Amino acid sequence: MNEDVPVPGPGDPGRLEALCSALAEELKAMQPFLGIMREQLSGAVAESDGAVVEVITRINTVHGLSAAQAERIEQSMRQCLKLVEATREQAGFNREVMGLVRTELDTHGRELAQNLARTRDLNQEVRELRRIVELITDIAGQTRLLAINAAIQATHAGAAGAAFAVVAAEVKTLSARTTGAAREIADKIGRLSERMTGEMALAEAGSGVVEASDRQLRGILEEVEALEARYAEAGGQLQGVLGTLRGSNAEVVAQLTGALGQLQFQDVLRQRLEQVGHGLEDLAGHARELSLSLADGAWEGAGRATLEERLARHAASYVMASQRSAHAQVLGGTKAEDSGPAIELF
Amino acid sequence: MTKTILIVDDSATMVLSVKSTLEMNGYKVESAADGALALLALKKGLKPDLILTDVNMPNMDGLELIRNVKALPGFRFTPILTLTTESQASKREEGKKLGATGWLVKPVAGADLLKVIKQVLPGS
Repeated sequence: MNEDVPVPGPGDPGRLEALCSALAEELKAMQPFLGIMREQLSGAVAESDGAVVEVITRINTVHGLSAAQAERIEQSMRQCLKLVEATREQAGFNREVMGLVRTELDTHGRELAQNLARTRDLNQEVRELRRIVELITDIAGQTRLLAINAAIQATHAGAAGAAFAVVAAEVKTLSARTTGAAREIADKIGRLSERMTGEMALAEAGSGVVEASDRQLRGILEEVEALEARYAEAGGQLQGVLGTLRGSNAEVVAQLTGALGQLQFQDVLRQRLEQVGHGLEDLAGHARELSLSLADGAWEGAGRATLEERLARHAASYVMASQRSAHAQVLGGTKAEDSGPAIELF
Repeated sequence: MTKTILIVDDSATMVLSVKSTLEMNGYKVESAADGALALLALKKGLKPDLILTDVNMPNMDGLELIRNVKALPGFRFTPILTLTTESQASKREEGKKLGATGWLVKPVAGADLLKVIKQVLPGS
């Protein structure tokens, strides 16, 4: 109220005029007041817009970083898997090769054993031969003695024994030759026997080496099989980790998607605040018209929208059930409900 | 094949929020600030697999956009979903008559939006 204007007393005829004038001034002052409120609302909407944009930008950044990290980890895991698989395949190949080597060793070992058996048999027969040669030598010795005896007897027989002495001499010669041949055979048999003994020793040593190699190979094969199994297990574990990683990443995306959906509240709030802003603007306009009318000293109601009419226009422009509900809550009336489900496919 | 979705909304934050949601989940996204700009883009050659539009917008509202898109050659069977705060039954009914595929009231949870889109765009 303007303090320079004297307030008329109760009986003053100019009182109504003064009151109207004062009221007009107040109504005029409502315009900037309401304008300020509208600006505050606009400012709040703009600030919330900015904040939402920033939040969305951060969410996108988080998603980008998370996706990049997940991709890097997945690439590393895939490379590890490839390496594990290649190593497992190599181990399998080595196992097969060692299996073939063992089979060869088995065959070789069996052949060696057979050769050794044959050599032992042969050695035994050579020993038999020696015995026979000794017998021949013995027989040759006895034959020589007989021949000597026969020569002596032939000498005693005189001329009648001359032919017998010749035979005896021949027998003695034969015996000497037999003894010589038997000695030669015995020498050869001896040398042969020595050689065969040497060969047997070598064959036995070789058989021992084959057995030792087979034992070693068996041991290595078991380790390779165990390694193969461990690589298969590692591969399975890596696959499991990959699966977990993908699941975690999907969960991150789901959570960020949820957060983005929540931000839609800002659009709903903006629309409601904008509606309030329009209402304040309308009210400011109404106050201005009133102040002009009062300043003139007359209220020309005809042709001017009343506050009730303005409010009805606002109500007609509501889009949300929550707006209609708030209106009904103040003025009375049925609380509005949404006209259908929030999500409807036709 | 990556599906393309056209978002039409006069709210920049709404476009950003929905665009981010869809791109994060493997969709390609284009946007327009109102129905008139969206129609222009379609006439210039943009061929989205789905249109997601607000209803109350300046220049051309969502219902008018649906009417125009359905009349455009090559777009008769393009699915159109509304994503709006509009809750009046008459508007919903009008949208249905004009050929909208569905009506979604804001705010819609991200997971629900993706579920509806997957139903409307099999193979996405």
